[in-house]
Amino acid sequence: MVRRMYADFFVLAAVAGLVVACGKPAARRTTAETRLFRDDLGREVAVPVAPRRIVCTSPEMTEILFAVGAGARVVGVVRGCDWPPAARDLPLVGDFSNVSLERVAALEPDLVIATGHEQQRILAQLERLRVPAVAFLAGDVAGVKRNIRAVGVLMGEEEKAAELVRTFDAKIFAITSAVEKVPAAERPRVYLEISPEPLMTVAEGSFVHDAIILAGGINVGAGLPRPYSRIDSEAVIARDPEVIVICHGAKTPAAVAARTGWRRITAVRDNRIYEADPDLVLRAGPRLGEGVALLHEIFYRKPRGVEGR
Amino acid sequence: MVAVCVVSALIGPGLGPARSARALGAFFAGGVLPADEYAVMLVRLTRLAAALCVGVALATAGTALQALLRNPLADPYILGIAAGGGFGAAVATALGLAGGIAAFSAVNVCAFAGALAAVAAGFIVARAAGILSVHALLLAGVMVGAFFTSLILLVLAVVPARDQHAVFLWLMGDLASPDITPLKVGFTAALVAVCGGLFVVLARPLDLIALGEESAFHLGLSVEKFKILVLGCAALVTASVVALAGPIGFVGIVVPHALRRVMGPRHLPLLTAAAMGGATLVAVGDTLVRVTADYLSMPIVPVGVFTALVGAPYFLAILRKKGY
Repeated sequence: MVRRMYADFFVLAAVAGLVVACGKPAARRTTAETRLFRDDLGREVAVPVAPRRIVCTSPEMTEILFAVGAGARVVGVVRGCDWPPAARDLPLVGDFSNVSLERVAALEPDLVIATGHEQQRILAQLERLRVPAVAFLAGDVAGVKRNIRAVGVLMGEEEKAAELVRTFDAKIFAITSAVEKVPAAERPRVYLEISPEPLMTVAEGSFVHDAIILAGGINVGAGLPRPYSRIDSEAVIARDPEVIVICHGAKTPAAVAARTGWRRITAVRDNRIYEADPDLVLRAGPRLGEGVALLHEIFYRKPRGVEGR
Repeated sequence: MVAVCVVSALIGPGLGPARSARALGAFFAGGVLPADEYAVMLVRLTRLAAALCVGVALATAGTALQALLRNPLADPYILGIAAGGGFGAAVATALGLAGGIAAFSAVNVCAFAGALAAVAAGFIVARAAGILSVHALLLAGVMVGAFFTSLILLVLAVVPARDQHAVFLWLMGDLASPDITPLKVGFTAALVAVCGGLFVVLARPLDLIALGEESAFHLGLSVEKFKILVLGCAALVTASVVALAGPIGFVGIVVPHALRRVMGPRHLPLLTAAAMGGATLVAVGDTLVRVTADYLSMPIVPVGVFTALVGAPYFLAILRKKGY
């Protein structure tokens, strides 16, 4: 019986090998004109000059692709790529953290756009299949603008990208010029929670940390060991934030206020626990300008009445 | 153990040791304490109490089960409790269940229910022949555990990445959750105290049953009732701490073995020592986790990872010396 199973396995493996071998005529695609592109992980990738079939494995990059006018060329996305609404109708190739190589390959993309976060495995697999794949990372708000421009270059939509960056800049500038007038001592200490279990917040190296500063807040998560880091409950209490921003939708302000010892936090006493749409704040995409504006509005909102819902 | 508790209470990211010492004094002497220091100490002492509870529960339940099952491999999780609890927690997380019972959240309640369901399943199978066979119980427990583990993997495979993170963390066993409240720890501590007390009362019969069921029967022990009582008690107490903090590993197997070498096989001293040893081990682990995070600026590691990391090699070391 066991021997039978082994035999079956070898047959299966041989067939699989054959399929892989047959499915490899990537030369068909390399006839298209290519150029070298250096992505945010430092990989030099030969990408087609005018890509026509794009699979995008990240919600924020999907937003950028559509915003620079390349939405019609996107043929596949992952679950969670829900903006703009047109992206919801595209075929799915898996989850953000679990991309199906087979589904990507089946869509025959001539370019895959991924993020540098947690997608190294699929990038390596695509490299072996000779499907050009580039990864983007934004460590600050300026990085988001860089990525918009880079996508513009990749897609041959430089002008639309430049226009997008101009409106993005204008939004940020409106906020930063308002923030400039606030003396540093009057800016609120902010705790921005991206996960309740474990408690996680942002620190240096995350564009969200940068967004908090631009929006006129002081990030109490600064100094934590990673850009997206766990934080101890008692550390949050000791850093005594004046504003708490819940950026995950998993807990209500009332539930956050009820945590052990949190009643003593200034933000909780002043009823300044607010929810913010994670899609605006935690995506390094074209809507981050709105996210910064939203944070600014929250930081300087006048506390009124009980906020718990 | 007292020393460990004091050190543990002094260390944390919120307050330095010197201010913590002053705050701790004021906290217990009923002095006036700045609001933020009071809150920090409240969080830290709640966490410490939870650690002690978990340690006592796992070590005593492990000791009792090793006697009952007459198997050195037995620990509180061998009956599938950890996997059952994990499945409950995973389902509650995946479905985003709100609500709960009294002080306990939906995740706590589902983990508790899952843990007890796993034990019940093993129990029903093992008692099919009318009497409870400990061998069948062990085998059934391992299988039930494997089944629930595969269910956990199934849930993990279908939930979004954010929930995966929460489930994984839960499975590692962690005391850092902001949702561990003094009220929850209080309830758990009461249950642990009752069951722990019962184990102590049953220390003598545990000595007997460790000789073998037949000998125990001839020495006048009502074996069937006794087995069910000890099993139920161990399941209840383990399920309650698993519901509180997730399955913190290796405490329930290492502590009884280590102490049996020192204290001898009699269960009264052994259970007492195990309670203290278990509490100390988890408290030390949780303190070290905080130290590495604060003073070495390392990412926060769940305490369950630490206990298993220390526990497994230590167990191997005893095994090598002792030779089964």
